[in-house]
Amino acid sequence: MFTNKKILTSLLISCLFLFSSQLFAQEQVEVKGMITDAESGEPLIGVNVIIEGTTSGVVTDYNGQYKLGGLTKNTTLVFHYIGYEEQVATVGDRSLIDIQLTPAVENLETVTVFGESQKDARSITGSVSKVDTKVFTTGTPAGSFDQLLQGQVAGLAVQATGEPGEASQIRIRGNNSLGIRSKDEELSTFNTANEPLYILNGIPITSSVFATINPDDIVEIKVLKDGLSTVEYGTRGANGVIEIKTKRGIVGKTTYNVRYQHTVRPIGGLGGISLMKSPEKLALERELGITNGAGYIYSPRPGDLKPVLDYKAQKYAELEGIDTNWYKELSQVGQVKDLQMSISGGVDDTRYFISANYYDEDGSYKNSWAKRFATRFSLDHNINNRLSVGFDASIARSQRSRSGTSPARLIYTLQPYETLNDTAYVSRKTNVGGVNFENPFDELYNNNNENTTWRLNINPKVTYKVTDDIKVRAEYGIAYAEGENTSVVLANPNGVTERQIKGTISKGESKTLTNRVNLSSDYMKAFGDHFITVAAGMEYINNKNWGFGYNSVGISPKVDPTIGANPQATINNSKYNDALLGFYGRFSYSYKSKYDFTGSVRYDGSSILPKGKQFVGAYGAGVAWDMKAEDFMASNTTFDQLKWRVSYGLNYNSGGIRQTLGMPFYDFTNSNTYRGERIINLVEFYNPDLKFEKTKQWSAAVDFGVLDHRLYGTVEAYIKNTDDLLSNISIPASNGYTSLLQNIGSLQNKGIELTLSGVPIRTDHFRWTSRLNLAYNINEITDLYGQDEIRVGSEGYFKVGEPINSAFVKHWAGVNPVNGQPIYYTPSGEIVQGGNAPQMIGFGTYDHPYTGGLTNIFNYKNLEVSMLFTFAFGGVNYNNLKGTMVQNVKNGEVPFEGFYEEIWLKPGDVKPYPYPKFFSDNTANSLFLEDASYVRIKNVTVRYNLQQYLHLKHVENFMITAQANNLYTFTKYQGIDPEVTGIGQPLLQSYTLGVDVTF
Amino acid sequence: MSLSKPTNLMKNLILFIFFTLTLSACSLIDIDPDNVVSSDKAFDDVIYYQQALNKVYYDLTVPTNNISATDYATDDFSNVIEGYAQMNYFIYLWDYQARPQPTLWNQQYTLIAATNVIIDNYDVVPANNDKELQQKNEIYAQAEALRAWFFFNLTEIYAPHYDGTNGSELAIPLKLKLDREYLPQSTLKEVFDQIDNDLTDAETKLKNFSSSSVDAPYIFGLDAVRALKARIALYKGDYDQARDYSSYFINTDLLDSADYWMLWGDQYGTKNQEVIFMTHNLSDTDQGALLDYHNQYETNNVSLDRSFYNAFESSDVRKKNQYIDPTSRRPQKYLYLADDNNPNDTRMLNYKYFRTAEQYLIYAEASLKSNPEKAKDVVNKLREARGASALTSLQLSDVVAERRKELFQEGLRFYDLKRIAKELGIVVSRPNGTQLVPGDAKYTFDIPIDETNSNPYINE
Repeated sequence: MFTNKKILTSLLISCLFLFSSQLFAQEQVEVKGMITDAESGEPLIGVNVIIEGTTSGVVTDYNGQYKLGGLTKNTTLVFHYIGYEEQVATVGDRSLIDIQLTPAVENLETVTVFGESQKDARSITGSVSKVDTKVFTTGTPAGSFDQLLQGQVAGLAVQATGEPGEASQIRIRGNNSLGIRSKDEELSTFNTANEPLYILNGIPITSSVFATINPDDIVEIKVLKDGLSTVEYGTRGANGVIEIKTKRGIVGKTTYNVRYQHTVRPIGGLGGISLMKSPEKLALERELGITNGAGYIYSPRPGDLKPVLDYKAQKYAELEGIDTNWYKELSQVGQVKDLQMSISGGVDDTRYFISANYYDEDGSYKNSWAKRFATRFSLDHNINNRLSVGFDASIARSQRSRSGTSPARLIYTLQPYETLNDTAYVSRKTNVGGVNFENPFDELYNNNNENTTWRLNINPKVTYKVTDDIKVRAEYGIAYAEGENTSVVLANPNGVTERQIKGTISKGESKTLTNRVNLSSDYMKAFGDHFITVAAGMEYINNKNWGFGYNSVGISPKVDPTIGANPQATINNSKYNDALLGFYGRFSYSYKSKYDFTGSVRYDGSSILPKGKQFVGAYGAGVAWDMKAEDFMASNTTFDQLKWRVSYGLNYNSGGIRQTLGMPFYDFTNSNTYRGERIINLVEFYNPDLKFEKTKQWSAAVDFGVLDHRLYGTVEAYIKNTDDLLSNISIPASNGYTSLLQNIGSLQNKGIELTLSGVPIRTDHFRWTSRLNLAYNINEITDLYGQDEIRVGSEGYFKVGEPINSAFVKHWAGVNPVNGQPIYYTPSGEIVQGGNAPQMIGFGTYDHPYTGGLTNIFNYKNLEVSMLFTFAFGGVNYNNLKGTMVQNVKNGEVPFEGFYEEIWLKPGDVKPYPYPKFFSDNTANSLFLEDASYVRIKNVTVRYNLQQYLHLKHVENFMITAQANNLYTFTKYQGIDPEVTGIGQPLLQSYTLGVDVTF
Repeated sequence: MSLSKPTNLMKNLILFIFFTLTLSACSLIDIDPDNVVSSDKAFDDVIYYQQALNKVYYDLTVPTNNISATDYATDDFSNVIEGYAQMNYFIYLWDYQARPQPTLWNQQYTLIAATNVIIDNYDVVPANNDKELQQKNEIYAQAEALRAWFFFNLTEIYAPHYDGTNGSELAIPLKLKLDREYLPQSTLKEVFDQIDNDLTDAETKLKNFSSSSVDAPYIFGLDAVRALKARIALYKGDYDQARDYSSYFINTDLLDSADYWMLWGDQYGTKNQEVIFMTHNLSDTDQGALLDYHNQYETNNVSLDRSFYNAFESSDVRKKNQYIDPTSRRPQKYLYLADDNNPNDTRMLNYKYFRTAEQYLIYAEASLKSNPEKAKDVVNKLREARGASALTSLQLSDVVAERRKELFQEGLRFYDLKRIAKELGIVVSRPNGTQLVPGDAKYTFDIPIDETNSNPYINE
């Protein structure tokens, strides 16, 4: 204790010394700060910060931040940025100089840099939220960048998974479409209809390549939420759009950046569950007479002779003394190594950016890991003042492995009184499915799924200014992705079926080539106070997909099992092409930037629809009123900004529709033959009436800025009506097929979003930045085209007037005190036995109505501390771990601690759990539905710049970073993790140390 | 900022690219899939029309598509346990609501959908000459006849027995085209009229049909259509038609008892002329079929009813351990035990759906009143061939008993009980006390929830 104290004290002293030493350094002053747009508060990248009277200076980085040393108190700095009014500031005693630049040009979108508009015109009337670069550059370990989006944007709900490198589930403003969630697995959507559209530098991508994207390459992510801003994506935009833009160079001195981060992830646990210890487990086995449990085996029985009784008692006592923590035995400490390098720079008319990243994550057990290698190059050049060209290329590989079995799935089948040296594992002989393994590690490593994805993107573009008012732009993009999925089930000599005994392997390879051409032109002209923009263009996207795969039985232990060489493999092949052609136009009118109107239209043709019905039109319109610009507000000092926006848009969603679903197509490739002759059959049953889902959204917002550019905020409300919902539902079996994708009804989502960002405290040396976002979303099925309810599968249930994703479970009524049997309620409140109990809704939904995040960043001189909280309220989660362990007690599996006290044992007992032997019904049960609301301390980061003490030559910054992730979760949920469905991997705590050097 | 004058070349180039792309764009999205084929292309030759028909035959080889699951509802089987094929156990208990429900409905309609592919696309298939036209018509006729057979099966299982007087009772949905439909149940009369029309048309189209003796039993040709017509006529009580159509077969020779093994164990032998229609045995290439078969009989622990077993004369070849296990009394017509003719144990899953022997018995039953002597002769001809003694007199009960002996494990007993239990006073009992009495509602299977859940016109 004493030594600890001593270390702590000396640490504190040295820290104080570090801070105070700077206070005495007088003559050489160093200044840093952040430059933002005065209207929106957004950081500005590439602002020139010049020492007055000289040509030397710096530019702001991707976070809008700059740092300039070697100054004196009298130095004056000039802040210059194209399209903005120049500002000057004298250093004085300050070490922190933040500047808010005011646009100098009435209509910023006319200002272009390397052919790109300085302002996104869509954000004037539409809802376009931006995620800061900082989120991606801090180096928070993320196998997939989407994990970093949680808690960043109001209305963007991200449900993370604990699997390394696995993409999260992302929803913008709720679920637009129908999906069924089963208690055992992650959300299993019947179509991909709920996913937003992801666009990487203009090209559509799928979440399967997320892991190949280097988070540090991302300069901004825009989330398009309303119906108007998504119109330009036409038939793909109804679920919202996520636009990912990667870094381009910053004109100025070449900057080299190298960063290494090391993360350690300690062994976790089962979240809210602690497992039963040996004495209780043994007593439970004795009580219940579980014949394969040691507690029963070593119980005295009538007729036992004295030596037998003695031996049993001794053995029993011995086992009581053993307490193996199986979770710990089966898990390992996870580690993440993350190395990042980049070069950015440019002169005058040329800028470039180069980066490379290597990421290596070891999960909590041997066959759970993720790796990534990614590199990117971008170059922009102004050939002359009319013509700009840009080029961006990236190549990346991600690899990841996911185990089919996790410690969490195994642990309750292993006894606390067994040890690693034991080989009997008596109670596991009744394991579900009847498959046994030599030892638990064999089972843990028995099957895994490996994925390797290569991604190549090349995007050249040309912008040409035809006249001062007319610009023409051509973009071309090619994206190639190659994925290989290998599933291996190792041979298990104790298996039951031939497949289990010999082992199996299946491999699937897919190749996707996307070509995109985008031609656009815009015309911008001011006529006095009137400003008009007309933009028009066309986009063509062509996808080619090839697939090849095989399945084989029999793995030789002599070779790497993933080779899977087997002469009797069955092979499958596929090929699929589709294309999309879109024409779009946008008209905006602005009067003195005070009144804005935007109308937008897109006409999309899709090859997946039958000829003649291929084209679908999307459109939207919006108005904005900058109230602050009115004369009557001129004297108002409360508001720096006050702007109202209203928009309406109609969009479509093509999710789930395939060409072969629209009309009969025949398969000539199957390998079946009859009496030596080929057979052909229908590919799948078809529905000629299929239509795209149609979403109409009203959105209204107010943007405000108060307290002298300290606080910016947006309050936004929306109503989204989706018609022609697509779902794969039952059709009469007399069709010869039992289910078909159909348009089945309508759904309404509505919600309110609040975003606040501001600088509550800003002094000469200290800054506190804070960002809060909060979203509320609810939905309701408004129509099922004549039906009142539709059941899908065992847990899918849609009912008019009810939210989708409602838990559909049996209503637990407790335990019959007379016989210890579980009892349930019927909808009318009567009590029935298990077999007859109907499933019902009314227990909440699996989606949280409230979601959000809170970020706080504190800067003091060279120290930065930031904290991110994420939270979600109001939804439920099915505690499948608890349900499974409790229901399997009768087979000898291990329940939670204290369970013995909570079960019915004799008539008259009033207990929460039934007599375990009577608990066999495994239909979803309200007993295991729990409130999954949570507040998570997602991330705490401390960064400190050591350069001024190290004085390394040429080095600009020498940052050390310490981070803690998933530090603590406040929740009432008693399962693995409130965010994790099924029996998955929890989001574990992790600790990161990193060095970040810029020179 | 002053701009340099745009070069005309650049301007024209950009405009050119823009306009050509815009104009040529519409054809960019007319993508015909490479991996699958639309109806027009798929059936541009009669060869492919045949390949679509092969799909129906192929599907008929699947053991679970076999209507013999209905045997579990009859008095043939006893001692049935739940096993892995619980469905059969629930049929045994006439509990048609228990899950899993009988899959017969779905299977027969899946087969119907496959026949409707052929019927729907008749107009698509070109016929360049008379020969092709005949081929095309014969393929169409087979599809029609097969569909009629599937409708008949569905009616026997899921509708009340049709005796010609209760035509207005509801039967099954008449699924006559491939497209998705929500169909109400048609009446018994409508269904049987459809069956009659289809079979009549098929018979016409097949009148010049011929095929090699090797192929013949695998094709639902003219013989099969006649055999089916005879079967249906018998079940409807139309004895004249039953006799007329079965008379085509009563002169076909039966195997003698020494060669009887060929019927079950020698799929390719030329001596066996007893098979009118069967499917090819795919169990060598498809392990699934073997498992399904195994599940259907072995894990359900099926035994033939003891008194039925004892009713076989000891000389009767049909009682041999090759066909019924003497200790467990398990029916095993499709399981070939190693013997002198066949060195290895094997499963002969080439289902014989229509056999000459059935036609003998149809003829006998249909002419029992009009020509009892001839009826007796025909039955005795069969009995002799099977190693049983000749009957001196012939009652209806004798014919039905003979049908049971000849056709057990082939899915016909349930249909027989349904039409004749009343006349013969047959009551089937289960160990738990439940009974299937003549005219019982349990003779009509419940339409499964796979239909009723989503079909607004059919409620259970």
